[in-house]
Amino acid sequence: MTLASDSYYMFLRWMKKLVRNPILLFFSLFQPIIFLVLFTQLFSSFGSLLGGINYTVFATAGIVLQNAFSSAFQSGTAVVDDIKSGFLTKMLATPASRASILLGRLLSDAFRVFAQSCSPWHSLALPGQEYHLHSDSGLKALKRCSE
Amino acid sequence: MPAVQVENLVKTYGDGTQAVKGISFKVDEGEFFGFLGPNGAGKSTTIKILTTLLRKTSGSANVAGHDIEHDAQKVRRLIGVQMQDTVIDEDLTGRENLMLQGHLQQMRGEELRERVNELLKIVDLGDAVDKRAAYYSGGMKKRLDLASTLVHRPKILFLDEPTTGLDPQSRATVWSYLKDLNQQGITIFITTQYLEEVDRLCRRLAILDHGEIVAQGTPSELKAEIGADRITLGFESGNPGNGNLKDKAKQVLSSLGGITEIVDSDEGIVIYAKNGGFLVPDIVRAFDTAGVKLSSIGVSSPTLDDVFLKHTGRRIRPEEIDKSRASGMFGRRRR
Repeated sequence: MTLASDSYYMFLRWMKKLVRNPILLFFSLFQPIIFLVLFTQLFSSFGSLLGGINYTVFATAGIVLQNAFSSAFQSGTAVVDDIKSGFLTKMLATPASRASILLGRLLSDAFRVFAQSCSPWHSLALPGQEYHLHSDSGLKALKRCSE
Repeated sequence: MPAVQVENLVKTYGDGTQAVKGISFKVDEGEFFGFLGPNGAGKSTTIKILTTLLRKTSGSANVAGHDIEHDAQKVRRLIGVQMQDTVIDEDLTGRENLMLQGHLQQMRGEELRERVNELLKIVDLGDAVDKRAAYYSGGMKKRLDLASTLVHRPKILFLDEPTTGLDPQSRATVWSYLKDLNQQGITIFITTQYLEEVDRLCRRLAILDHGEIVAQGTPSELKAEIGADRITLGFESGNPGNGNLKDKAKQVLSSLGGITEIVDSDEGIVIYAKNGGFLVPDIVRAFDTAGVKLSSIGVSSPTLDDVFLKHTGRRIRPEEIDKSRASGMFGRRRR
């Protein structure tokens, strides 16, 4: 299966690149936490404006979504970088499966986002907040916002 | 079986520009083939089509015996491609770069590891093989890039200006690698701006201008075609440009016999004439009588540079290439 094996090698390439860029790694893993702490501390009083829901729960959903969007954005940027440097051309000149070039990157992003979401920091109770991470709390908050 | 066979190849871009206007040529197996032309002549477009990176508009092309459109995958396994820019992943080590390239070429396991070790020895990266390529010097990066096109033992190597932007020493190294590779039986298809190297190494060459092949043959054939010595005239009052001086100079020259061609150049005026050496006293005398002061006069036998100038009306200037280069395949297109 060339698609599977090619995607695997592309995935490895991106994971190596991620691990070797500590700044990128730091931001991708800790940015959501920084946002969470920052926003919940700054805007915690907004909860009452939102119909009395816990602002932390509200912000968590937003940050999860923001993560999803920024990962998609980063995936795109990475492909653009490959186009600019000519690496894409180089890959296209090999018999490697064309789909694997994108799939490998998507797999590495999925892996990273998964790691972010599982980051133990997320489940830590923040000072001064009643903070319980339930699997559906974000969804509930989203639902309430849309009502 | 020819390594590359192209017939009536045409490429028209979406905006209607014809980058390649029906070219035909053949490269034999084991040949060192030079593909020359001024910027925008269609060299890169042709290379991209032959390496399956761009779709042709019409015509036919076979590379290593396979049709480039119907058997693109087979072609890709048999060719190595090096584009203008040095393309390696700087976050990966030298070894990892080669391994990745091998994996993409569907090589696996012990075979790949051995091949990578072999190449790492040849390109002479020393202790740096397991360091990130970001720390490599320009020459090392280029050598690594070249090695990465060779992992799968290609039969034909396509190189698009591989030595542009390198220092003279690295350039010489790259050329000597290419010579070795060619001696091992690899067909080399190269575009470059360094005509001296072409003269020394290329067995045959084609000159492309405005999407058409204007000359084709061995370097000595092409030079013999000119059949005349080259006399360069420099003027005391600078480059004659388009002004009166030029007209006057041409008038003076037209009164002399034995001149086959008069070409304008940056340094002044270039004349092609049989037995040019004998003409020098006449030229000096004629200009003296006309009251035009010459600052220099030089006679030389024709070089590839002259061949190029004759067929394209332009001179190759390697230092200008950097400015006009496009980046990446979707970047600014060079025609």
